[in-house]
Amino acid sequence: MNSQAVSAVLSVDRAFWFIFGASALILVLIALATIYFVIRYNKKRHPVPADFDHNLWAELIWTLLPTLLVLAMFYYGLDSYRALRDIPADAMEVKVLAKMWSWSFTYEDGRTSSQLVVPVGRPVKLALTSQDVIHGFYAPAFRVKIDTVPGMTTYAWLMAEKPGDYDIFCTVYCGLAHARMLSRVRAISPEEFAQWWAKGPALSGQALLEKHGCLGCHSLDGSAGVGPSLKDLAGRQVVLVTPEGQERPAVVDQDYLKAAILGTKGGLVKGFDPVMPPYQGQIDPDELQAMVDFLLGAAAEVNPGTLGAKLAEDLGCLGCHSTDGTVLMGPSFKGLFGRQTTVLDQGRPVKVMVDADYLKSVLADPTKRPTQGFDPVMPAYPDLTQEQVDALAAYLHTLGGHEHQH
Amino acid sequence: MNQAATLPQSIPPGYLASSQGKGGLASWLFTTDHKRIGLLYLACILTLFAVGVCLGLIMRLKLITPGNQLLTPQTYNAVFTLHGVIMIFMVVIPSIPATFGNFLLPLHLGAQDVSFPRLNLFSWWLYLIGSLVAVLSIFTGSGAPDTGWTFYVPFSERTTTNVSVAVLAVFILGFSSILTGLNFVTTIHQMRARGMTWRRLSLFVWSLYATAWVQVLATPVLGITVLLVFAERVLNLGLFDPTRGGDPLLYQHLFWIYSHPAVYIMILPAMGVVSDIIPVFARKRIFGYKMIAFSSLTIAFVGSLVWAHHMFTSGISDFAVLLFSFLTFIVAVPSAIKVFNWLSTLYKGSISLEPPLLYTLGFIWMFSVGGLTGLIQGAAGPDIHVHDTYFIVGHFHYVIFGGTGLGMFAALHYWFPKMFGRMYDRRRARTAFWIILAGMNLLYFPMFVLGMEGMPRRYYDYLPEFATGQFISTVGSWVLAAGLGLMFWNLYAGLRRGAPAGPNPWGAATLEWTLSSPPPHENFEHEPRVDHGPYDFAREASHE
Repeated sequence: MNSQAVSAVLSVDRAFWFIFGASALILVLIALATIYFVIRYNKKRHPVPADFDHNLWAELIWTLLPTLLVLAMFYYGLDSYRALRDIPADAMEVKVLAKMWSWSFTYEDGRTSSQLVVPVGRPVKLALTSQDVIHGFYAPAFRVKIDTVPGMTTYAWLMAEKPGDYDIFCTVYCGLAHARMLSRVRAISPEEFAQWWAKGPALSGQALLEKHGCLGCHSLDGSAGVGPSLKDLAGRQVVLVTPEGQERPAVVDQDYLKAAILGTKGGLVKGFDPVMPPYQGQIDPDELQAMVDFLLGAAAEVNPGTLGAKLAEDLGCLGCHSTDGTVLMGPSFKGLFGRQTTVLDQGRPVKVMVDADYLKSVLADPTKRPTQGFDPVMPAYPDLTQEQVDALAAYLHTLGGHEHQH
Repeated sequence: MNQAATLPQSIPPGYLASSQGKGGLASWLFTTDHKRIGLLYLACILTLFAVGVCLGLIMRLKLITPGNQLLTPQTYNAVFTLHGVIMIFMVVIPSIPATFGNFLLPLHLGAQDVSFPRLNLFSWWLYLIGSLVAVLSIFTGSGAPDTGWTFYVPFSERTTTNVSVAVLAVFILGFSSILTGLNFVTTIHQMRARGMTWRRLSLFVWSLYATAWVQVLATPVLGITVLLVFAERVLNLGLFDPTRGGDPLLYQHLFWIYSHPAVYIMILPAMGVVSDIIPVFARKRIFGYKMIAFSSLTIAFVGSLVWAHHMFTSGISDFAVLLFSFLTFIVAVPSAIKVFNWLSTLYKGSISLEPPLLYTLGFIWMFSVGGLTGLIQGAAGPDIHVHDTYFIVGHFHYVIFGGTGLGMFAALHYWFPKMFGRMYDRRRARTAFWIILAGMNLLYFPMFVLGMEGMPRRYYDYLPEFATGQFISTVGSWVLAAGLGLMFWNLYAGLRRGAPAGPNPWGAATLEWTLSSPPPHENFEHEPRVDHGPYDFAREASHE
């Protein structure tokens, strides 16, 4: 067993009990002294008050003793804080993304989970950030708490000593469903973890693109980026500019893509800057194949519904809108599309059809016509492109409820 | 000194009566008499306090069982925000300084009024307007603010609720506080009567002096900060929003640079009240006058340097945590000294357990619990665990409601006869005290346990494992409400038909007790000549 982990929780608790014990003692003494004085020196028993108003020694003592005591408290507090902050070098890193109002944990191999699955006895380093507002990651069993701040990565670590489920709470108020932003640390034995690790879904081509950071520059939805979009790639005609400045046409296929990823295609797509690093030697052949398959396959049949699902997840829609009919903060997405719903138009209830146009108006300004029976708390998403709105509409379409639409 | 050693049979009209043909509501709304302004504040603050208490009771009722549906999540979030905004900015911050400070400061100094009486009236109007704007924010726009009283960015920039109007209200209220502080500092420097040396100031005045400096120096930071939030929302400035290159931690620093000192704006005047009451009912000079006065100033100064202890989990550097944890422990020392000095004043005194002293002893207990649990939060490691949990809620309410609240009630019971010329039923006041004390502890103590178990604050619902503590806490809120009801009813009854109190019912030695109760419009007929300290009871008695 790793002794550092034991010392983190234990040393926080030790500091706590030290301060608590000293404080309780002081409190009891104060209370007893008060009660004793009030009884003993009551006007009836003690009609003539003594006349003194200072005592140098007493004042020195009760200035110095508390000073020493609080310095000891400071020391123990700091010591335990260090134990929480000193991350063991052999810790397994998990990325934590907080968003309104859910947690997502991403492992080194790119897999994501909505629960923090950890092997017992192994320190886990958390690298946390937020997608929207400030949240707070809190796992009381491990005495761990750290805010997740958008645009910034914060760190914490924990180690489970016993298998079990431990609560995770959000501790920084983050809006409507703050109290529902819960998850669990699921601590399992190293053997179980090895199994989970092994049988976990092999990375899809898309996940690999994410893992290697491709999607930072290349979009999947056709929008412009630093590099060309990866949408509709198969068979696309491109113009390459060779290092010598000559232009030559090329067609996107398996070989082209592999060469492009590895950095061996011998030219740049016209109109883009030479900023993409070569991946030669960093990607094993199987992964490369999966990525290329995905790119060509995705190009062949880009499914807007799938893109929409990803958007709904990324934008945090699913925090309030369930996909299984449960009513959370907002109406469930299940069966919503193509159905009549009642909205308040300047306070008057009006029936509208949930279709792509309606969806677009809601995303642009949800407060304009809030749905009857729900609080007007949905944030606006005015920056979405028409394509993204269409993808969301297509996604809602796949969730059923479109029997009335023809 | 005065002829009123025997109990009078009638009550002089004093400042409460209309003077020179000026009567009616206008003579109150446009008065420049510091005593009337004090009462205006008292009326507003008690009204808003009642609103805040009701919001608190509703929250507690909603939390009585897990899954309770009394309030929707959004309503709950708005209710805890309003409870915080009203209680902090409109009740606790102005509580003692604006009411008893205004009423008593000139009396304690032997002055006719504060330095700038019209500015004083303007402060009250700002307070009134700020409060009205805050109320406006509830009923206009797209719903009551739901950010918590801390208005943390980036959430406060994104929420569609009426945050812009609410921060505007806080801005206006801040100005009211700054101007009151300015007035008090000037008054204490300029308006002391002949012979009223700095060492003859009452400790209540010393505490107002320390508080006033904090108000003048720290509140502008709050004003700027909320104005920036307003600008972020309205002009899309991008100072705090990371997606536009801003820094959300900058907001937290700015907010707490005011809001931590604000805690001392809340507690210091209550400490002053306590330091004035204990000697009177122990018939003994205050122990360690200089240390208490000095510790007020120390608390005000060091208290301005500890703000980031609200941010140990925010992502600030480990060195910052070390530094602010250290400073936080240092500021605990002067508070401890005060408690020991108060106890030593009781030691070998001749104690009568009148209601003001009883409420004062309640203050010492509640403040000690609050202060000592604060040590756990000052310690870097343990704070990580309890931060943003119910532990904080418990700690805060022990200090602010148990401390400042009971200090305010002690002041009410102590100066009530001076303000209104009548005495309340003392026995009923004691009964109310015990119910309030029991209610407070029942309400807030379980929160420490809940926090230790990991219950985060600002949750409209909770896991079943927290049900017991939540239930006890809700029951406590009913007991507390009953106690408050009894106390205020008793004071009201005293106001209507209490026996005439006479000028000095407690035999106190500060200057306000040399005047009739209630005091006349112009306070002192002639400027008094002060030849003794505020706690020279022996001397006072020999005069009579």
